[in-house]
Parts: sequence; structure tokens; C-alpha cells
Amino acid sequence: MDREEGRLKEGGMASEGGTPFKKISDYIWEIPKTGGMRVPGRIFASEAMMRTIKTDKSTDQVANVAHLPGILKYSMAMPDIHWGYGFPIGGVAAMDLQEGVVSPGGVGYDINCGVRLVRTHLTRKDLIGHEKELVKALFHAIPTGVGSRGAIRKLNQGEMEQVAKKGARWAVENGFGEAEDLHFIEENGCLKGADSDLVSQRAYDRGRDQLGTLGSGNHFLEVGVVTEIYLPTVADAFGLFRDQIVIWIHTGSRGFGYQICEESLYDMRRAVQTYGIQLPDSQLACAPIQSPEGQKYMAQMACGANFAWANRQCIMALARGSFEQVFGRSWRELGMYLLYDVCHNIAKREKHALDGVEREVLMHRKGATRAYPPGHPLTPEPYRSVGQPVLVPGDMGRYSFVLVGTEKAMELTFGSSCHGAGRMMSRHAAMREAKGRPIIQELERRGIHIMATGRRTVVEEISEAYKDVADVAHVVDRVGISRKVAKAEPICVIKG
Amino acid sequence: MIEHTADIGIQVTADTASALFSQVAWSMIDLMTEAEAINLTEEKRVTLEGEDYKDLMIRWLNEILFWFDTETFVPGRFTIEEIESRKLVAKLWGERFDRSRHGIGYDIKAATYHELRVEELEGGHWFAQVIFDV
Repeated sequence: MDREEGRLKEGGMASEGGTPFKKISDYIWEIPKTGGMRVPGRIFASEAMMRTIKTDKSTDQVANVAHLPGILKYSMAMPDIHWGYGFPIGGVAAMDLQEGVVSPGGVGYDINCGVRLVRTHLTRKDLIGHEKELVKALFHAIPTGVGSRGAIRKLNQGEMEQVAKKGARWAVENGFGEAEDLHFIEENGCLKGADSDLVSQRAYDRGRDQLGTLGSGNHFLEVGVVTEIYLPTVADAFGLFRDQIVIWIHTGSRGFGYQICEESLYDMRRAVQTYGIQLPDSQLACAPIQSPEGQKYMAQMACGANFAWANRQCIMALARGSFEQVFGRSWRELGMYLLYDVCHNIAKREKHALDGVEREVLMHRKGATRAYPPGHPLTPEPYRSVGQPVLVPGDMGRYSFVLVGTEKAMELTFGSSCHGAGRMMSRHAAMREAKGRPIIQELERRGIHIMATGRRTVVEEISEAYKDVADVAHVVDRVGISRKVAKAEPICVIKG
Repeated sequence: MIEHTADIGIQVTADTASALFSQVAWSMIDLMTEAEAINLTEEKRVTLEGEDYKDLMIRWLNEILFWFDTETFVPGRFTIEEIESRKLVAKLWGERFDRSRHGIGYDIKAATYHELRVEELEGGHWFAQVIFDV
């Protein structure tokens, strides 16, 4: 896939749709600083990927993000980059805490959309004959799809505020999982600075009945099997082995987060005028981090992030219950321990070295994952010698990857890596592609059991609609911003 | 419908601003469920203020999404009683969402400002382009 370099013009410049690219290395492409850009753009991708990436507006979006005040070093995009709103999906931007801005568009509506991976003691053969029963039990326990609600009881106002403050800990205190789970969640499942008084009644009302639900779109719960181990030592530390059954959970903050984002955008549109910020796209609306508007958003967003962690914690507990029901053993006996939980739509304060000096910056990751190296104090103790797990789900018909963070990520991408496959085809195009094909039966013939609330979701989420996540994982591995640890393939999937 | 890699967009042309706002709302509901299948048994009235027509469009659509999430209310008919660039008064008719009767479509997170267009065209027609986060 990386052999067609002759197509580039001499000097490594390629241009399509107006955005010029400078080739820095086989997997790094730079958008030179022009016009109002404060820093250059950098896209991490193979040459073959770049040809696809250039066909939508995502590269313009990388350049747009470079206009934001206080952006440091580069406006970056991971290889799973695709067209988002405001920021591209796959976008990474570090902001100076004093001079910089915070942008809800750099987080997204689904605040703390993320992934958690649960390991088990089960192997592929333990699952044989139970697939249908298991997928049904999971589908029954975990509401999916448009208007999904009622996974657990409807929360009252006081409980909602506690969720917003405590995150995953609230779930644990209310019987969803164990305190030990919290060690294996980014930020221990609670983003600091959450101020539940700043969240609107409307946001609380919208999220009240949605804890423990998946939602729809690309969200899913998947039971998979580990089919490849690339780094045995790291896999050992993560508790992964070949033929092992694992569970992926991909969802976020549901209506609670969407409402927070939506309301903050109204505030931010005004802030842009108040502070005279010049923006190439109004969906990039932002406010200085230190302004009242910026501080308010950060405190609200932390509440949204905490709801998402509580949500994934509840879903994991419900999934443990489904496994207990099907296998007649406790989740502990089944070895269903949380491997890790990452957020991939977030803005948070982190310490990074800039020109050799460590300082705090505000990291925006929108469709990108933190990828901390071995030895980092924020990596859970059992993984500290190998690095932080980076969870990269693929599409429902192929495979997903577990990667590990590296020192190189700290040097090149402020400790960031990819988050998934990245859509390649619009939903409409996917529907045309799948027209007349019995997608569910096609998957079943390949040993993948899927249950979804809407048929349209399954059709639109066909493998062909996505980039091959193996290509994405290959690029981050080659650039060195993460290393491939293991690959898993789906067996049971529930979707919206 | 317009092509967008990750999300979904619509383009609507109408004779008046009122017709535009009701048709965009109807199209959004039709993405989430089958708008035709909705019984018009419950009535709601809303007054919204915004900074301009674009802002008003987003607030209007997001208000409908809010009702859906909080009350499971799905509207199937819309009458815009009053519209100017900063204010909208509308009446909606619909019912409680029922998965067994209504079609299941997209779980729309929000109507976005991204590439948003709400314009009066020459000749008095109105045009809107809205991209939804799904």
C-alpha cells in the first residue's frame, strides 16, 4: 500500500482541492502554514490513505484548526482522519493554557465518547454453541438504538448531580462493578473540575433515563476473540492471550453530553464576538481557556465526561450479568476484569514537554486516543512497565486492535494515537453498496452474530464503509506513536 | 439527503420561511423514524429566540430532539405561526414514540452549525442545508 510514491510531484508536494502537502516522511504529511494559520498542519497517514483523505474536506479542517489562538506546534490528525464538523475526526490539538482557547467542536457532541475493553478467562471454544444465547442476553440487557432508555432505573436530580461529579465511581457505589475497576480507567473514570451546578436542567432531563444505554450510530458492544499477539510481553502485562474472549464497549455521554455541547456552542458563538476571535468555520466556536466562558465549558464538559464513564461502567456491569446468566458462573470466575477504558472525544489538561520544558497544556482529542509511554505515572501500575493500552476498534465485520503507548507519541503527538477505522463511505453510499444484500446473514456465515435495533444501522456500518483498521494500526505502529499488541475478531455484536 | 462521510445532511427548498422550517423539521423526524406513521394526537407550542435564521434553525431542531429524549415526543406535523430572523413561534402535533409502530432510524445527537445554510433565494424561495451529528 505504500509503494506508489512515484505519483507525487518532485519535491514531495501534492495538491488536490487547494490544500498543499509537504511530505515529511513516509507517514507524515505537512500542511504548510498559510494565511491565518498559526502553526502548520500534520497528518499521519500512508500515501495510499492520503489519496482517500484528500477527497473530502477533512484536510481543510486540519488547516482550520491551525487558526485557533494558542495552538502549539501543529494541528494534527491521526490516520483515521475523516470529515467531521469543525475539527476533523482524528484531530489532535494542544493549546497553551494562558493564550489558548477551548473549543467544544474539538471535543464533539458526544463528550467522552470512548472505548473500554474487558478481558475474560474464556476461550473461543467455551463460546461455541452459546453465541446466539449470549448475543440475545446482551441485547436484552443493554438498550440500543434511537430513543434507547431504561437500562437501569431513572435517576433523580440528586443522583444525576452525583454522576456528573463522580463519574464511574458513582456507578461502582451503586452496585455497578467494583472499586478495583476504577484503576483501569483513564483519569480513574472521573475528570477533575466538574461543576454540577453549571449543568442545565435540560441536560439533566435529557440524560436521566439513559445511563447504561448504548445509543446508535457507530456505538456497539462486541464480544470478540483474540486472534493475533504481536508483542507477547506487553500482551502478558495486559492479560491478553491468543483465543481469549474479550468484550469491547464503545459509547459515550448520550443526550446528557449532547445537550451540554449544544448549549455551550450558543455561549461560544457569543464568546467569539466578545473576544474578537477570527474563525474560518463557525463550528470551531471557542473561548479563551481562562475566560469565564472557557472555564464554564470545561466544568460542564467534565460533567459530561463523567456521565460517559458512569455509562460505560454500568454497561460493563450489565454485560457481566449477561455472561453470568449464560455461563452460570460469577463474573469473577469468568475473569471478566476491566483491561482499560479510554476516552477519544475530550479536552483535558495534561503535562507535556515542549522544547525540553515540561508544562501543562489543554489537549483536544476528537477521535484520537491518549497513548502514554512506559513509565508514565498516570498509567495503571500493572501496565506501567509496558505503557498505556490504546484501544482501537474496527468495523463490525473485521477486527479491532489493542495497541500500547510510546515515548515517540510524547515527542510527536502530545501522547496521542488513532481511535478507530474511520469512515470512508457516507451512510447513504453504504446503503447503496449494501442494497439487496442480506448483511446479517452474510456476517453470520462468517461466524459473526449481530443484533441491532434498526436494520439501517447494520447496513450503514458494513465493513466496506470503513477504512481497514489494520492500515490505521499499521501507520501508527510504523510512525511509532503506538505499537501493535494484539488483534481481536468479532463473534457477537449488538448495535443501535 | 446530502453526502457526508460521518454524518448526515439534508437540503430543503421551500416557498416561504415558515414552510422551510416545518419541512426541515419533518425531514429530520423522518430520518429518526417514519414521519408518516406518527399519529397527531398531542399538541405542543413553542416560542424560540435566536440570533439569526441560522441560529433559530438549530435551536428549533434541537428543541425537537430535546423533547424526543425527555418525553419521547415525536412530532409529525408542524405549523410555523410566526417567524422573523430572531423569533419563531410554532405549533407541533405528534405522539409518544413507540418502537413497535414507528420505524427505527437514526439516533440524531444534534443539528450542527457545520456548513449550515438558511437563505432566502432570489425569487422569494427559501433554502436550507443542515448536517446532523449521528
